[in-house]
Amino acid sequence: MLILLAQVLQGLIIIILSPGLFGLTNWFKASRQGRYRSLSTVWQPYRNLGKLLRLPPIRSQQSGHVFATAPVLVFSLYAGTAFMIPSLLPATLFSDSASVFPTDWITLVYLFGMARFIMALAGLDNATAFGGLGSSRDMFFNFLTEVGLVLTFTALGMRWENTSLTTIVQSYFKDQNSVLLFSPDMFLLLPLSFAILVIYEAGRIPIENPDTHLELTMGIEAGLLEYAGRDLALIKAGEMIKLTVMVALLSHLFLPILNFGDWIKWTGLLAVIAALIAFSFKIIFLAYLLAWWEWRQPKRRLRKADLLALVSIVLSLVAILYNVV
Amino acid sequence: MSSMFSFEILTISMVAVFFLGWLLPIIWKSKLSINSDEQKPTKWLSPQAKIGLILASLGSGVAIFLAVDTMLKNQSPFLRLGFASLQLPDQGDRFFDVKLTLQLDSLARFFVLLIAGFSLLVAIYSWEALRVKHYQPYQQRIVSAFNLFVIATLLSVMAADGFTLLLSLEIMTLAFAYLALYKHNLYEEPNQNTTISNEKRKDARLAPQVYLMISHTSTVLLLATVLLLGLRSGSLEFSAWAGKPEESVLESIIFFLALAALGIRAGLVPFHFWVSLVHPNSPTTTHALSLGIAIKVAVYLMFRFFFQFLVPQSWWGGIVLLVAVGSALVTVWYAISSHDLKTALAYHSIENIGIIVTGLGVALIFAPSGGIAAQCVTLLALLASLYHLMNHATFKGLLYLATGAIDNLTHQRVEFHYLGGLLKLYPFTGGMFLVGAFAISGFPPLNGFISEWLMVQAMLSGANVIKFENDLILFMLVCGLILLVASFALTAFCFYKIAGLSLLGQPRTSEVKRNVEQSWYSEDVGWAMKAPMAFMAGLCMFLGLFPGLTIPFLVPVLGCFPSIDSTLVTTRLSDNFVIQLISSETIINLPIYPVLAFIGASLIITLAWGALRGRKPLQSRVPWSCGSDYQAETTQYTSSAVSFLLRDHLDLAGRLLQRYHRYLVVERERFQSQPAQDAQDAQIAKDADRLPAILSLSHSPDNIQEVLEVFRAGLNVVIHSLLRFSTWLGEKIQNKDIRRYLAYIWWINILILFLFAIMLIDI
Repeated sequence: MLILLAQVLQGLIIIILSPGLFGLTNWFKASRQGRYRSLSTVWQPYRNLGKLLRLPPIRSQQSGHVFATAPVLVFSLYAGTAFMIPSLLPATLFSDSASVFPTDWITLVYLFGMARFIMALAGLDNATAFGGLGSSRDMFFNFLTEVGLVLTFTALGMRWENTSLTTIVQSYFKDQNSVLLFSPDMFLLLPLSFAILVIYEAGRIPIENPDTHLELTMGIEAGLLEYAGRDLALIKAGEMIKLTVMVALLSHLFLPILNFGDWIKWTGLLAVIAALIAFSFKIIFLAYLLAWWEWRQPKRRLRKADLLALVSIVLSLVAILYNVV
Repeated sequence: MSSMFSFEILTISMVAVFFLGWLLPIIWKSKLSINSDEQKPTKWLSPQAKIGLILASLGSGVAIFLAVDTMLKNQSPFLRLGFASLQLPDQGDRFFDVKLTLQLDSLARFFVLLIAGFSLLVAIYSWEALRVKHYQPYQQRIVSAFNLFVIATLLSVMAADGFTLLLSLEIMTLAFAYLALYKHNLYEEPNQNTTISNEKRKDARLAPQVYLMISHTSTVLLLATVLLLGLRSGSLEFSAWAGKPEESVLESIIFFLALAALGIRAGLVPFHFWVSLVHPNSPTTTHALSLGIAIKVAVYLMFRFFFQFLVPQSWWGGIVLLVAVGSALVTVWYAISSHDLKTALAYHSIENIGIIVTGLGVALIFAPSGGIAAQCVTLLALLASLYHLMNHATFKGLLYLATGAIDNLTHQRVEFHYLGGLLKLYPFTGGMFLVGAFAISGFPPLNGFISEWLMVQAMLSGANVIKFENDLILFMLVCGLILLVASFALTAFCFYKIAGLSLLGQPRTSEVKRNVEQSWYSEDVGWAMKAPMAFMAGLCMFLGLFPGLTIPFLVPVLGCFPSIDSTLVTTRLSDNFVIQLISSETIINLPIYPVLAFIGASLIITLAWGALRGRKPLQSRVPWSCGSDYQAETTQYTSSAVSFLLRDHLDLAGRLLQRYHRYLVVERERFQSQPAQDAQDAQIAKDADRLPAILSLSHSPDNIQEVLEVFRAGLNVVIHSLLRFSTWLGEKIQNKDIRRYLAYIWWINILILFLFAIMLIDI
């Protein structure tokens, strides 16, 4: 019961904080680019979402039921994945208990795929040229990232002999000497591979530009053009949750080196606080990295965008090979 | 009581009912002739066809009763219809005794249940679907061929000896070839409108021919397999064929013959092209049976041959795995680049067969090794395979039933550019199709997810078990996993395209609107078509939500295989929803319910908030299209545009072949423009004239493919080269010179004498 409560609480925190993370990334980016920034840059996503939520959705006569129901479904799916990420609290609190909340990564990948599938169908259902344009590109990226995600998680799963995210995180705590954590695949290959996939999944710069206004360069953002009001708010909130979930997975599963729990043998509330602090630091650091990367990178041509996914796949393959040989 | 409902009587009555259903509708001629169009009402079913459908339902009912009855009693009944006069008393069971033997063991029972269930649904569905105009002249023929097809499929699954198996497969082939004639008959009707393109006519003409040739090639190979197995054991009965654990060359030869025969029949790459050519040309009402389940008879035989008659060897598994995964990837790519709803679905069936056979491959890899972990992986892979087989039958059946409804609603125009906006026009049919699309793309909580999850788990567990032991197998498993996941992701793309283009948005041509106005149905299709679709959709939900209730029924099926220890599962099947196959390496539980609960909770909260606090949606008139006038017909994305990114990246082989084709065309034109200088030039000109016609790829909208069917073209090139080579050889051997023929006679005499000499020495 306590585990379930902790899981729910953590999911809610992630959902609530996700626009803040989005705003923080924008703040870092503005600071790198020398644009005007203030504390309000961080709060701006909340304000935008709040305003959009109060506005009524506008739907054209040409669009159908799928277009109308997609935002709610997509938001719920992403919100559901927020409850799935390996729990921060239970892992530190009950690092010995075998039966924890079952979450496996195959389900996670499929849920991401399902949300994208629904968004893509909605893109075709709005009966415009941009909808089809955006959604077909997005499904192409979905093809690349699904393979990449499965392969990266396979490398991780083969290392820790499991598909359950929670159990993998628990094995970090059980790995007392941190021998496995410092091996090159855990330290270098898999984080890099997964970071590339974060960029793909969250639709960030070399693949897609969340701030763009030119439809022809867009991916799924072009499918959102027809949305307004509450519908748009739900989809935007869903994408922010997705970014946060991906970053949280990256920090939790692929950068366990910074999880304090395995170094400091604290227990109880103290361990929770330490883990929370470590988690926030890692998230902020990753947000800064993302902003830095976006500042460095130009937007790539669509036809060149699949190269990065290939890099990710090759990195994961090398990690698997390193595991075995 | 027991004697009245005994296995023998029920089986014979089932066969009799189906044969009656086959014979009656073709012998008893309908009063309405084919060409008297004006007498007929818009919807009409001839009484003969009605009787045929009732007989088909009756026969399927008996088959379902048989399967369920034997399952409850846990029997494996056996029936021998021997021709006793041929059996000499003193010689016992001779190899060439002609007799029909049937059995219902757990594997056969599983398939009989699936086939009979589907034929029952299709019979109910046909009651309504066959009434429309384009089926009216052919109703009786379709119904009679359907009856024959069902009984042949049932018998081929129930067969317990090689002769019965080959016989029933042959009947099945002929019945389906008759069904595949349908489109050809329809197109060549005298008063048919002339909008059908020549390419379509040609495909319709080719379909039965290609089907007969392909399945007879398969039959020849299967005959060789059956004879070898018979020679090995001295009997044609399955019970005598059980494999002995010995690694001889003969075993491998039998395996490869069986793989080739069954692979061709199941449509594995490179022989997948016949499926997409033949099935779209058969009546859409029978698709749910023919592509949903009857094509899996080959997979059923793979189960029997690989795990029961042969003793599995690891390296066979690797080959099966690579072939299967390659098939899945190649065919899903072809499905994405199809222009036609039925063609795309036909290709996609092979993708699913690839996934099912992948499970077989993994099981073959791990079956020979003795450890408990490896045994668990084998079981898991086989379970995944069986589960996916059942799932595919369900959701593909649903999709085909919905496609049949769309086919009737849109007057047989199922190319994507004639569709669009069907969900709004026909909410029930469209909704059912959408449910099928979600299920087949493998999204929770529908059934596709469960089997894909099991399959990925099986491969991962396998990789974990093998990782420090055998690098080659590990490499194969990882490669297989990559390709398999790629094909899963491409399935989502494929159904995004299929469902999106046909159901969503606005109609893509004005023809759709005209069809709606002239529709044969007032609103949506009738209840007889709706009920089977709803049943299938419910089954998709059930299989997706309650795998824990389904898997206990699948486990006994695995009991058929002597090399597999199915008790491992039964002892470890614990909760309702948690499958636990626990060994040190494989820990598996199905973690879908909590996630679904969270998603459902957030769905309810969001919806409730929107209903309570949110403002009502506004409706604008037209979507924005960069300031120009909005036109639904021209602004929406087309099917080629949707698949462009993938085609552009991956169509290497097609581009190469096209370049070769262009070279041949240029050569031909060069030789045609100038007269041949000498004999050699003339020969080259003649060769260039014999271009494989299939290599031409026109971009007309009626062409069903956006890309070249490489394998079909490649096979054509091979056949043409063989033809040229044999012509050349024949001209060398038969050069009309008497001295050459005398020399042949001389050498043959020498050879005969030589053979005699060897025999004499032997004696």
